[in-house]
Amino acid sequence: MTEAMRGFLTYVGYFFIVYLVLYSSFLFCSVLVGSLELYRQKRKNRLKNELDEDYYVPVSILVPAHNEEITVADTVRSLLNLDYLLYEIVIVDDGSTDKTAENLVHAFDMKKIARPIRRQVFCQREKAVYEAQLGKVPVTLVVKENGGKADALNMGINAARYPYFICMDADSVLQADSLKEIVKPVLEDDHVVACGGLVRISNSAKLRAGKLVTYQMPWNPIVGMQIMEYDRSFLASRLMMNQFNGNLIISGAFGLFQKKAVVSAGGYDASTMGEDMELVMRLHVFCRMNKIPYSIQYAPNAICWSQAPSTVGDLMKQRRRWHLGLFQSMVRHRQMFLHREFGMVGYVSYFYYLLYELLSPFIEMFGVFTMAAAMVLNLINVRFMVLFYLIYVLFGAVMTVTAFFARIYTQNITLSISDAGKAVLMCVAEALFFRFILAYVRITAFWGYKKKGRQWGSIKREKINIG
Amino acid sequence: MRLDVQLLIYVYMGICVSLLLFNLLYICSDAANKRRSKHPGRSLLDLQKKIRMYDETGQITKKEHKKNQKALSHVRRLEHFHWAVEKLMVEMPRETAAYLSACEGDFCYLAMVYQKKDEMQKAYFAKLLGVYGMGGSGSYDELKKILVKMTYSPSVYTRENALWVLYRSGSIEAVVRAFLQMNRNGVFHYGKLLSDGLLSFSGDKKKLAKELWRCRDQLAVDYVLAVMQFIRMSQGGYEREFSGLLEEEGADQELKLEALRYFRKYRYDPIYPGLLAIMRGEQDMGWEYQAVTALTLENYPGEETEEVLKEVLGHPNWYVRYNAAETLAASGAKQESFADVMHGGDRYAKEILQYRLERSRQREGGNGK
Repeated sequence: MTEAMRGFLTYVGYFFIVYLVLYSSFLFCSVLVGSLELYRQKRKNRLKNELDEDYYVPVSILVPAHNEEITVADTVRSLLNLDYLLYEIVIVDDGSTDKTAENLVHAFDMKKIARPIRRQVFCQREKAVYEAQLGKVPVTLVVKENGGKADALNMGINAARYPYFICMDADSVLQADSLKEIVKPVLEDDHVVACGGLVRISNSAKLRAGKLVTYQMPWNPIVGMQIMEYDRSFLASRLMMNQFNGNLIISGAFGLFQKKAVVSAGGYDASTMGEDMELVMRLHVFCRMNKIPYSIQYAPNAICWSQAPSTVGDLMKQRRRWHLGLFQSMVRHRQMFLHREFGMVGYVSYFYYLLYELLSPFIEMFGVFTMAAAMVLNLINVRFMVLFYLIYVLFGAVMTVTAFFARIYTQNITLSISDAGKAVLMCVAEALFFRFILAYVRITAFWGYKKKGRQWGSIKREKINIG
Repeated sequence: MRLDVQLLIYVYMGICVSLLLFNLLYICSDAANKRRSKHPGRSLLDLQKKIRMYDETGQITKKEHKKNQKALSHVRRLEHFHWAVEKLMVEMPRETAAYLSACEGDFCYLAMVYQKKDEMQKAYFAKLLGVYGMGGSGSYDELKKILVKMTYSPSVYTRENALWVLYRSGSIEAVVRAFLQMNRNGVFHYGKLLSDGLLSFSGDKKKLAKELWRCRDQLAVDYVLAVMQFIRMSQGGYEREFSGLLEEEGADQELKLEALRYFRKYRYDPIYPGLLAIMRGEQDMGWEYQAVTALTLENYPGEETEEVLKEVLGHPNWYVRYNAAETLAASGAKQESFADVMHGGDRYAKEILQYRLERSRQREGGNGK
């Protein structure tokens, strides 16, 4: 029996070595490629590789809102000052039970109008439509029956007038030049069907007229660790996957889409919780299966500021939704996995998300159990195990530090010495603790899974600091 | 096995240390660069001296030209040079502009150097040529030959910057050659950038349009479309050509639609019966034509127009209905004239017209904040 166990544990050991080597190599490659790409972007800016002329890709900004009475008017106000020539704002109030719609109508003197909406993608019925012309920007508010965020976005697509649309959250703020930056890939290549922007955490940032005024590392470790995590994710793995058109996700907080492509693919799927990821995966499948040349890009200079959960409870709620969304999207588009038709998207991107995002909590839990069994059987070298773990934490932290500072130095952000110190501490804390919180959330995400469909994720909202 | 794992650990530790060192080095070099750029650099003083010398003597020596060419072949030096030029353009604009003009020959030499460099450097160099107004005269010279080559580079920035210099130079020959070369090399350049760029042409726009239109058979649809948009936005005078295009059997749909848009801006009565025929679906051309024509008819008001637009308010296609309602609402016709639609049985027609009329009323009332 002990011999059999010993044999089993040896193979488990091999498995984990391969698992960790693959993960560390991916992490290393993505930080390296991401940093190089950021430095390339910085050089590009230094050498004025930019288009100075006015941009004429007309864009509709879709703002789905549900019980956002605190932030929605500020969000719209911030959107009115974007440094862009031709855009409209479409706010969709998805059956709010608070004063979201009333606040907007009052704040912008919007007029009710009998506007027929062309249904290109399915969504719940509209109850009322309001319009206003605020300076150069036409603003539309559609009040509809509750149907969830995806349903609200579908209504936004139906009401949008322009060929490209931006999806964003009602608690987010777009940086003044963000539209200019996010349409650049479209100007460079007409096969771009979607483009993701960089989402940064606004909790400790102060913005005025869409421009960053002050930026500090927060004291709240929950927010601080998320900043590190976002930087690693947005500025490393997404930039790397961008090299082979392999991004499987564009954050719902900020992304640009070609309306024609999204409508052809059927719009957002209201039955999933991760509608942002599901749509991007569906665009991959739709374009590949129909042999449509396409490209899904990522623009690291297009910046959106978004509020992050500041309590463990809110964080867990948010991450549960994300993990369920990931699960639903991966299951729905499982044909991508190691499929020749999908190339690197199937071999690398899908494989990575499956092994290191979706299944990782279960694999890690399995690792903990086998470790306990090995200890009982006295088959483990505790000193070596602790050393190995510390090295692993150090490796992860150094990668995150590199991604973080690559952003700081390439985007010309000034950081005080104390903030730099805080950032290093957060990187270590993220590698030491955050992972376990996430593993717990991901494992327990499936409890009560069926009850959670079509609900809006609600976290405690604060007024956005836009000066 | 443990030995292998230890080896792995050492490798990872090595990676960690090297990344930390890289971070530190980058921070130091960045700080040093910032310090350097804060106080007037040597390049500023050098350039100031040269400009003063040129202002006094009215000439630049051969040796000086050579020195300039050698130094500015390095992109870092070129950046410093530009930084200094920007400063001196504020302090002594006349002298600096005169000096730059005298250096045009050096920039011709540098164009040959930079066309062999990477895309970012090429784009930067082309940008500076535009900023310094160094496109040369209207004739097709050596510098323009190089710029035309740059217009079919893989980078959109190089292409756009090179085109910008050519537009500013006012050389019709250079712009036409650039379009032909880009087309021949299968370059995708966003249509709006092309048409807006053409609008900034500093020479004779009419002649340029004529030349480009003459070459249309050698250009792909995207390029012809940009030329047509340029014509529509800058001038009229192409009524015959565009109405002929509408009758051409094999002409591309996008070009025909652009021709219809042209007739929205430039009224051309001989085309009117054709527009009505499109709206009535007599020519079986598809809903896209009806949708665009519905807007074109804005420039052809009258009873017949109103009648045909009201007819298509019940069209199965959304865009046809929407555009027809927009034109009707903009026509300024009295509310009573729409009574038949408002009291008719077609819900689609009624809803869309009601919306457009209400919108027009709100706009007239003004509700902007």
